[in-house]
Amino acid sequence: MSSSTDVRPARTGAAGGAGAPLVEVRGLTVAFGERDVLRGVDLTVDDGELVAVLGASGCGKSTLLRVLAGLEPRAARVVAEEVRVPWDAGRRDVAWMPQHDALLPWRRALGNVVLGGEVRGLPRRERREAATTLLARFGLGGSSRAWPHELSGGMRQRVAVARTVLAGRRLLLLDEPFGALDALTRRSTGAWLDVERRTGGLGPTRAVVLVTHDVEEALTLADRIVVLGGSPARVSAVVNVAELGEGSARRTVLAAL
Amino acid sequence: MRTRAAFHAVWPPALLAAALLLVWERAARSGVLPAFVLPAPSDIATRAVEAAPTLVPHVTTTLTEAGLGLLVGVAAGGLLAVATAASTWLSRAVGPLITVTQTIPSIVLAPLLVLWMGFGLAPKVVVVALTVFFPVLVSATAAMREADVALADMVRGLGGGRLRTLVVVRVPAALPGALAGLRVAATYAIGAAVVAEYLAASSGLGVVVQRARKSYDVELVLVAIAAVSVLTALVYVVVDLVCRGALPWQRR
Repeated sequence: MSSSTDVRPARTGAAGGAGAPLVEVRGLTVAFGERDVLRGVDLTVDDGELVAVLGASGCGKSTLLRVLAGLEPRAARVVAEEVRVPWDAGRRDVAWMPQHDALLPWRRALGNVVLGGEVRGLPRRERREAATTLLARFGLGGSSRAWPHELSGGMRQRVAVARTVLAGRRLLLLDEPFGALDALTRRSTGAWLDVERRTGGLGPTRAVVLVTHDVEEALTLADRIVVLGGSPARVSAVVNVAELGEGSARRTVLAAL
Repeated sequence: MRTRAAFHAVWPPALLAAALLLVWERAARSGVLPAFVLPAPSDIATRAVEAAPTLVPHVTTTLTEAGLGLLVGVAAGGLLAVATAASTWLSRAVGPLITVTQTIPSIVLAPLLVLWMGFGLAPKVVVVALTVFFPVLVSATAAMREADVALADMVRGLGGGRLRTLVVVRVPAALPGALAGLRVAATYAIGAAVVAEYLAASSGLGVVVQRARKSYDVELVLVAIAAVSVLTALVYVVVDLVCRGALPWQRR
């Protein structure tokens, strides 16, 4: 299991670095065994952006996110010219949310959100208060004492987002956050996330990378869409939704898929 | 509906047990075997009622030994499981040694423990603790190793370190497994205490059995065996209740 990564602090730590991207990935190649999953992938995420990484299931989107989160290399071999993610006090200023909510079954909803504050090192009272506030804001104030198995899929997902937000990182990495939900709940939860992001509900979050295989989800939520395709996967298009408008962006995305 | 299902679950074994007792009673009464070899169940029952007051201190002794031994064994097994989960080096160093020592049944060590610790409670507590220790350690270690990788990744993905993952994910994830080991261990506890008492003790159900055996009092031996069985069931029920209480998220 050899690995060579070059992960260094991004320059965005300085407040004066206006216009400097929060994430900068160049020439990223990831292999499992002999098989390349990603080859030569570039990705930049600017401050204030929500970037959707769009691609078919199993194309390596989640692996890309895991590299940004620092969870690889473990099984994978990771080679890159550059992988820069935001850093704070010697560690990644990044919070990653896995595909399935990964709520701790032995903690109630509130306890699961509190975990975000624990990892960030908030004092006990402060993290409980922050978690209570966040749950209430996310419309789950009445469910804070519920066990995860008592919550619906959409509620669990919102608890997981609250936990990730409470970790207080500048970069939020969401891996198919609504993938496990039914179509209706997926749409409403997506719309909810959009509203929260625009109204400050995501706390100190400055940028979001969202992995999805759902074209409509990407179009409605993202400022920019990075389309991954092929095997091994490369970036087949970068579509600026804000500039092109949804209709034109949809055509470009569909052509690239 | 539920009471009916329960009734259907209970009556066949109850009927069979009654039939077996009846056969035993008949055989004993027929005089094929002398009463001091095979006493009738009814005589054993009468004897149990008579002997109950004198048995109480012995039962208390055995129960104390088993209870303390369980506590010590669970604490030691659980702590060692957490320690080996925290340190790969420790688990590599300790794991094989523990496995090798398990080739010595803990009860075989009892004479040595009596030699070192005397005739009191201590050697019995240690025998019970040794008996309990291994199943708890093994099941807790296995459960921690199998702790959901996805949950551990989640904590790391939030920025949590190794220690945080251990405390937040692996230890709680190991709890049901460790408690399953404890349930198994709980059924051994009384038996281990009694066998340890066979060797050297002044009080306890093991002492009752030994004394009764030496005076060919088979009735009393059987009464003591029945007491062991009831106590084991009792310990199991208490441990089971504690286990359920410790896992509130699994209650429905």
